[in-house]
Amino acid sequence: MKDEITRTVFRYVLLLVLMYGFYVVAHGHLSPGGGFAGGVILGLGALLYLLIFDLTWREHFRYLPLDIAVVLIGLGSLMEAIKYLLPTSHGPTGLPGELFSVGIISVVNLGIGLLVAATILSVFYLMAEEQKE
Amino acid sequence: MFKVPLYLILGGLIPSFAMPVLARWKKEACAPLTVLVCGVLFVLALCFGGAMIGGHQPIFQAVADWDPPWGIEIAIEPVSALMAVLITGLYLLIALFSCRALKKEMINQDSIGWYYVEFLLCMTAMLGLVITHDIFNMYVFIEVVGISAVALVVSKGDRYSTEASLKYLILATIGSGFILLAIGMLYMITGHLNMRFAGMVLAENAAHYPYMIWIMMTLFVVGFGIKSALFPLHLWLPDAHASAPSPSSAILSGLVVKVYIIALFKLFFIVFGNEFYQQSNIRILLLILGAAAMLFGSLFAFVQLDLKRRLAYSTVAQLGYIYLGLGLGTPWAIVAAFYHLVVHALMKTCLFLCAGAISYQTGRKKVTGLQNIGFTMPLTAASFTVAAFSMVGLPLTGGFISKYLLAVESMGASFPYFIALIVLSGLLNAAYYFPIIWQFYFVNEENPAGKRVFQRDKIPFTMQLPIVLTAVGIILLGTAGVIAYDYLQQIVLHFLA
Repeated sequence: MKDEITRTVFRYVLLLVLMYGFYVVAHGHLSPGGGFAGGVILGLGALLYLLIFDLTWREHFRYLPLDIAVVLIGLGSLMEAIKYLLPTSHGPTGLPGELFSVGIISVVNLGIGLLVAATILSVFYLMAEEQKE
Repeated sequence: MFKVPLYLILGGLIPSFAMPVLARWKKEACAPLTVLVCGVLFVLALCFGGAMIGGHQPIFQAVADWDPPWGIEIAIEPVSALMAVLITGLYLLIALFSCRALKKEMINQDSIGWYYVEFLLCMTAMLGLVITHDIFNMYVFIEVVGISAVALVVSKGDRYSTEASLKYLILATIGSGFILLAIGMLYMITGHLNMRFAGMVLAENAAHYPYMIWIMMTLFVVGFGIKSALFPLHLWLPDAHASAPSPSSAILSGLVVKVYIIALFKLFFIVFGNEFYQQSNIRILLLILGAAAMLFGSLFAFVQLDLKRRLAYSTVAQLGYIYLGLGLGTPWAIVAAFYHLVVHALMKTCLFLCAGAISYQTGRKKVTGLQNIGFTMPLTAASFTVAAFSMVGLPLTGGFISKYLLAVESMGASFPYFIALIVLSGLLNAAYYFPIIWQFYFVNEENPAGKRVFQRDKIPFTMQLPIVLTAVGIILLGTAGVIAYDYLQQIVLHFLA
């Protein structure tokens, strides 16, 4: 999409979107939201970036978003599985208002966030690739 | 390692999520990794199965240490151990088969790596569906099985498979809607999502909600009936099975439709309880629909000219036997239903893999063009013959024992006219399988006077092995089935005691 206004505005909004996504992911145990909702925000931010700045301008990097997404899917699922692979115990159960108070659950939330974001990205990318051919 | 049933789920889930990395950069490594994962899980499932045969107590595990009824509980019981062994074993064989077969069958070669993502995801979800004891967790796995099964159909990439998978997707979604509604009602009445706790509460309060419970049971039967292709709701099945790649057809027909029956069985006998099930009228509905499926599935199969389509309608008919056994409701009838479930999983896998192998070597897909296969592909044709004999119910094959048990038990449950139906359905099976076998060995139109000699099959070893092994399995179940028989008895006693 070649539109100066969207590009200029989004250049600044993108940071806010991503930051808000990470905020929702990190505060999953304290506030509404969590890994899935934050992951959707992260994924849509990256997706909007792809749509507005049209990454096909350099042939070399065409597959870069898909590659990153594919790796993140594996990474996120591993982080999620950590919870089950470790010896089972509840661990710290969290304190109100304390960000780092739940131990492994934060890692799991981050994993879910990355997984969801990467899945949104890769689904979009696969569909877009199909249309081009 | 041994006491943790959760590894059955995680062992398939993590590789399937890691598979996109391989699909992107090392396509050729996907198939061997899938075979490896299936093999490891098969060994693990065999450990659980061995423990259950040895009379071990059911193994319960609270996921992440949250005790039921709050947390999710998964359990290895005799029935889930049986299904785990069946699923992982057949998956190992089908994964071996698909290594080479997919290279010829898939239209879009680039998507082969992605095919294995769905392949493993479907297995994981099926394992989860049979070992979970939490109803909502079961619903999640139902959705995952549904979506990944649709993806297995659509992955072939041509017009017919796309149309069939869209049909499948819509009907499967309607089915899960019914199931979700029933789960909501169950939660409303009992306040529990764990099967055992819901069952306990329901046993106390059932008298207060008679209509609600009838509605729930009906919704479960309709929902799982759509998904497992109970006769009038089978519309998605023939298209989906006929247009999918042959490993997918084997999975769909051999396993996917069966795990829903297992889920329905667990719901009926753990949540509602045997006593309630015996009194309910839904049993009669299952009997009628099962009987209709046996008759009409075979009649529809009779007029199909496409080989895989004929096999697909045959699946509808054979599912009727399983529902008939469930509907009769006596312990021995349920043993017969389970026996038929296991045997049919082996038979249909064998037949669909044979169909795939025949189209791999000769490119023929119609039932009218199968002359001479018995001589050009002797091992494949012999396996096909064994599986078809088992479908018909001839002695020395597994199908004979299950049909015999069903016939005896329909007498025991004082529905003697079902014997006539079982015999009639067997004859119809013979009417549409024997012409194929006749063509294999006795028709030679190209060179009527010439003498024919047996040649070697020209398919790779990895495709030949699964076909032969499933055929051997059918014969073992037919001749040395006593072990399986005892084990199934143990399953049924575990639930109906």
